[in-house]
Formats: sequence, C-alpha cells, structure tokens
Amino acid sequence: MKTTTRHLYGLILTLFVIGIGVFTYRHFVLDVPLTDSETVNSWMVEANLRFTAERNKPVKASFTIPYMPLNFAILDEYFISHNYGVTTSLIGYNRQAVWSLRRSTGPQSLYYRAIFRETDKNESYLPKPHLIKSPLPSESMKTAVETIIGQARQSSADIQTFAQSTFKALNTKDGNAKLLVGNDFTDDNIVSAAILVMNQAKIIAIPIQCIHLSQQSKADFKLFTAIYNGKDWIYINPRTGVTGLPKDYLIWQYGNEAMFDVVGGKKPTFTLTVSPTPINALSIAKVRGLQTDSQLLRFSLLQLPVNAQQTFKILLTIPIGAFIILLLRNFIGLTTFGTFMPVLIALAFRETHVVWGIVLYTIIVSLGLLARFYLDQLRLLLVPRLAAILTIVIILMIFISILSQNLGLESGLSVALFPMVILTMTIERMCITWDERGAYEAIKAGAGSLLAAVIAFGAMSYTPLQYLIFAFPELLLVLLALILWFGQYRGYRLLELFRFRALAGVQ
Amino acid sequence: MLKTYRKLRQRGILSINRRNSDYVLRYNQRKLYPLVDDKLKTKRLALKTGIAVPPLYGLIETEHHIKTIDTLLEPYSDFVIKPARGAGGDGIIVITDRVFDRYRQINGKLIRQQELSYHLSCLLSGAYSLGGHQDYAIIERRVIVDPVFAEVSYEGVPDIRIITLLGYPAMAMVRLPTRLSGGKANLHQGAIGVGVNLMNGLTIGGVSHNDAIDYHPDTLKPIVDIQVPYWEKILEIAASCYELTGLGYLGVDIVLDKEQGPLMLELNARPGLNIQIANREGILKRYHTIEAHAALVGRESINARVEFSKQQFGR
Repeated sequence: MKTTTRHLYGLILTLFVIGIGVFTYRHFVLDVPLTDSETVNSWMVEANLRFTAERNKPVKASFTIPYMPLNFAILDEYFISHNYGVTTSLIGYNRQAVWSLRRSTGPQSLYYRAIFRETDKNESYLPKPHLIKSPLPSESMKTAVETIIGQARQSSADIQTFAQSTFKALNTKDGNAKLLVGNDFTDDNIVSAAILVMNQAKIIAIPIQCIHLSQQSKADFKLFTAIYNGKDWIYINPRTGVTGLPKDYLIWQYGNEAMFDVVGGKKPTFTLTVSPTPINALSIAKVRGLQTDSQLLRFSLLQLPVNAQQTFKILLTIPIGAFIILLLRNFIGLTTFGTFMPVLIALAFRETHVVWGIVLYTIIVSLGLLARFYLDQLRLLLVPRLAAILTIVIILMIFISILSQNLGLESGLSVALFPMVILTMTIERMCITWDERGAYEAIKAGAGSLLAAVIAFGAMSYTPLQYLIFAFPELLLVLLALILWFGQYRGYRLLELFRFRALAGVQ
Repeated sequence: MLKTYRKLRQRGILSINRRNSDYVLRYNQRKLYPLVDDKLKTKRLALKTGIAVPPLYGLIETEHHIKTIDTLLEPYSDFVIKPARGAGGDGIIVITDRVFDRYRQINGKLIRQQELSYHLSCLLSGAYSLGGHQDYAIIERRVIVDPVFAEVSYEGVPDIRIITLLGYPAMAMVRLPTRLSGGKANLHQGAIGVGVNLMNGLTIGGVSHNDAIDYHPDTLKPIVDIQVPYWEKILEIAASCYELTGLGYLGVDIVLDKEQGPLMLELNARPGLNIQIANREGILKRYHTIEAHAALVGRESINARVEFSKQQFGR
C-alpha cells in the first residue's frame, strides 16, 4: 500500500513537472502567447515598382528587398505581379528580387509585400567585409580630408569614436566640411563625405538605407552609416553621430547603389508604403514553429490542417468537462445519469447555447418519458423498446426543428446536434429509476445531469481556458496530474454531510 | 459545514469515496464479483459449503422456457420469482397463493398467467439487471416471516444485513419493510433500518429517512430490544461468506424463515453506508480494529472471528 501511494504521488509529481516544464519552456522560450488576443507589433511594408513597358521588348525589372534585417523578422512575404517570373538572389550584401517577362505593353506594376515583426535578435548577418579601395580624392579635397582625419584622430580612441568624431567634424559646416560635403548639407552628402574620409583612414564604412516604420504611404529612405571595427558592424546616425540603429528603423539596403533597375521599361517609379498590422501572437508562434528547429513547437496542434484543429479544439475541452464531473461527483456528490453523459450534453450546448439547450433537453426528455411510459403499456422487450424510443426521439427532433423554423426560432434547429443515443439511454434509465425509486429520484438525477452539463459547459466554453489547452496541450498532463491527485480524495462529499448530519449532531 | 465535516470525521463515519477506494477496491477483486452479482452462483456456492439458502424450485433461462412455466410451477402454491442479476430488490414477484387460474401476489393483487409470462420475458431481456444485460429468472421457495418480525413489518420480508470485513462481522442491522417502501427492505425506498447489538442480537433503535424512531410507522409496535433469534448462527453465516467467495468486504443479507431459520439471501460487494445511520455510529473505527487484529493474528477460524466481533463490537 505504501509503495503504491508513493508510486502514485511520484507519478502525479512527474506529470505535473513535465507539464509545467514544457508549458513554461514553450511560453517563455518559444514565445507561444498565453491568451488568444495577445498581439505583437508588426508592420506591413509594400514596395511598388511602376513603369511603362516598351512595346514587344523583354522586360527585366529588379529592386532590392530586405534580407534578415536587424531588429526585425520577416514573417511572411509575397511577390505580386501579373504574369512575371520572379526570382530572388543575394548580390553583395543585399537581396534582390528580379521580375522578368518576355513581352508586355502599357503600364506595369510590381509589388513586394512583407510583414515584419519586431524581435530582440540584434546580431547582423553581415559578413566580414573585404577592404574597399576607394578612389583618391582630388588635391584640394585631400588636404581637407587629412585635416579632418587629424582632428578626429586626436579626439578619438578607437574606430567607433573616430567615426563619431568624423561625423561631428563634418556637421560643423566649417570650411573643410563645406569643401567635402558641398553647400548642401543633406544626409546623402554628409554620408558620402564621411565614407570618403573613413576610407582614406582605412576604415570600412558603407552607407545603409533604412525606412522609418510608421504609418506612411510614401516612405522615404533615411541614411545611416555602418562601420566595421574589426569585429562587429556599428551603425551610426550621420546627423548626430549617435551609434546604434533605432528600433523602429528597418534596413532596406546596404550601399548606395540604385535601389531599382528596369530594362525594357520607361518612367520607373519606386514607392514604399508602411502600415502597422497587429498580428495575432499565435499565428506568429505558428510561423516561427515552421521556421525553427524546435521539435516542441513543430509538434504542436497549430501545424494541423485548420479543420482538424477545429476538431481538436473541441476534443481538448472534453478532459476539462470530465474533470468538472469528477469534482461534482466525488466532492459534491451530485447524482447524474451515467458518468460522462453530462459532458456530451455540454458538448451539444456549444451549438445550442445554454438556455436553448436546457429547454430542448427538457422538452425532449419529458416527451420521451411520456412515450416511454406509453410503450411500457405495450409490453415491449428491451431492445425493441430502446429502438422505439430512439426513433421517437428523432421524430421529436424533426418536429421541434420544423416547428421552430416556422416560428422563426433559429436556435431550435440546433436540436439535431444533441447526441440522440445518449438521450435515448437517459430516457430509458430515467424511466427505470422512476419505476423503481420513484419520481423524486428520477427527476433529481435528471436535473442533476442537466446541472452538471451546464457547469461543465461553463468551464468547457470559457474561451481563455479553451485557448490555453489548445495552444499548450501539455497542460493536459497537468490536468491528468490533478485528476489523479483529486482522485485520492477520501473525505466526505458535500451531500454526505447532509446525509449523515444526524450522526454529527447527536451523542 | 466544516464543523459537520470534522464531527463526522471524528466519529469515524465512512464516506462513499473512502468505502470505494479503501475497502471495495482493496478487498474485493473484480474477477470475484460475478459470484455475488449472480444470485444463482451465490446460491450454488452456499449449498456446496452447507450454508442454508431458500430452496431452488426452478430456473427460466430462455423465452422458450416461459411456456413450460405451468408445469414447472404445478407442485407449488407459493413461491418467489427473482432476476438472477437484479439489484435493489427490483423485479421480484412474490406469489402467495393460487386462486382459480390466477396467482395472488403478496400485496393481494391477482395476476394472470399471461402477465406473469410478460414479466418473465422482460426480466430475461435484462429490464431489471444492471446495465441491461441478459438475465434469467430464479424461482425459489417463499420465505415466511418469522413471528418475531411479523409484527414490525409491512407485507414484505425483513432482512438482516451484516457487513463483514475480512470475515469479521463489523456491523448489523435489520431492515423492516413499510407501506412506504412497498414491502421492500430497501432503506432509500422507505424501509426502516434498525441497528443490532452484535454482542447479543438485540435491536437498538431504528431510523426512518434519517429520523430516529422507536415504533414501526405502520404497525405502531416497538422496534427496540427485539431479540433477533438464531443470532449466533446468523453471525456464523455472515462470517463464513468470506471463505465462500473470497471477497473481503461484503454485505450479507440474511432472512429468517419461520421453519428453516436463517437463510442467506444474497451478497453485496458494495454494501451501502446507511447501516451507520441505523446504528447511529461510524463504522470506520471498527474497520480499523478488524484490520489491526487481522494483521496481527493472520487468518482465524469462523468461530474465532465471530467471537472477536462479539467481544469488540458489543455495547
């Protein structure tokens, strides 16, 4: 006995620990959200290249699209065009989408649409660069470059601070800066001047084109500079010299090569549209599940086809209902017909809704009982009697459906979802109980079943719970542990307290 | 509420949950259940070991057999028909006499042979058996109420229920049928439960629907201090059912026949808890005493067990 108890509690503990462990792992590490309504900030960026195709000439259009951008993950991307063939390839640091078509005429429109989700991942995929040989500046510029290098060297300790000092010097707009940048102090000019300076100082620096993620229909590119300090890439704001890329900037392209190119077309325009799209956290977890190597996420119910998922959503609530019945029977002492009949009735309530469910259940069971009492007079044997009741139950269902249809009560139609075999057995057992134990006992058990069904339905249809057990099926192990644990209850049931109250009072 | 809980616990009242897990599941092996679920098997076992049971008149096992009922019943004027696997006293017909071509039931109603046949075919198709399984009918001698109980029972036959644990009688009660219970000796149908002192077989006082009573509600005769006859014999029968079936936890139902004395009627592997109300005492302490004693001395003879129970649980 002792060993059995120890075994059982060991099992309970193991199940509990495994369930909770997998649950916490999946929630905290794999980011599966706790509630259905949890959303994650994400953005939809749409790049659109328009041009007019030349008559009867092959068209080849290409533009840069983001590739593993910093601080963001691409959740989904689509290439939308009419008849074009699309390929993507990595060229240098960038990814390029190439659209091609043998023949076309008139205005053309090519779309690239991607959904970006903020992540905490901040390592860049950028490889170690080759040393870039930059063109030598002209004589007059050379002195200006050397002056700035000299200034920056003095006030810096390493590559990063050197770069920052360079930007500071260029932003002073003094003579040297003017000579290098030109009269127009745009980001563009400052960045190219800074890169010229840094290349002369043997520092690898490239411009990067970013877009600011905010609701905008015509997004402009903002320039940043990336420098390589021998180990990592460092991002610098050319205006302020501040390092680090702000969280809401998405890197679109490294380098300042042309962003798009059209062969066989005229008047190309390239626009970017940005809009926020709050995405259900669960669908993100699902997409991540497809991408990651994590077996725990891959083997989740979310990977099933949608209609199978629906089935499992319902199936997974049944253990909850069974658990409720356990509580009601072993702790409260409610009498029901059959152990799990109320769970099946509760399942039917999903479709009929509670009030209609109760009304329909009561109507069918009472009419069925009347029929059963009538059949009793005919002295039928057990099996034919059951078959007759089943038939009568189905006739009643048809009758109720048609009646409610004519009365315009749509809820009445859902009566067909009641488990009729279960109803038949309920009627039969209720009738026998009625005969043997009296009407009081029969009605008590019938009402008890209904009450249990309503309570079980309440728990089973509680959406957060439903979602939780669906997204984290490992919680079933926890539920199993609870069932085993609660099954150990040896004490009095609530109704026993009333039954034995005479024994507690006297003496 | 919590106070009631604590009080009940303190008094050692057995709960359903504990009965199921600590006694039924622990002492009664599932494979032995058929021995007590089928009254015929119990009866045959009892006959083999010499325990007195109501004599068997005949069996009806198939629809075809029903036609032969007339010849089968020819020699008997009073008898009982009961389903072999019935529960709670349902489906039992008690015939006391024959008038013309009809049978007279104990409640005075006359039934025709056709009606009897219909009842039998219902019974065979499992109308009264648990789970609606196929069943068969046992026809046996009618028990004639011992005069001791004639005054305190209405229509039916009172029976003595003894709960035994590991073959030790633990508690006993007499169940007296009333008008309310329709002549059945079932407490929840309205029969009276009367606690019995294990020591000497004297009744203690009764309970009807949780209320303590000292008089039978129909006959108004006192039900306290009635001496149950053959008490020693009754305890022996109850104790010997352990060896009979191998079931450690049993409810033994015994009736007293006017001529034949105590007869074992049926056994129950999941005896109810009402016996505690009838005795106004929790049964758990007695179980613990028995379990401790059995662990100490091992298996004892029937007489030793009866003696132990009489000494320990008398009052």
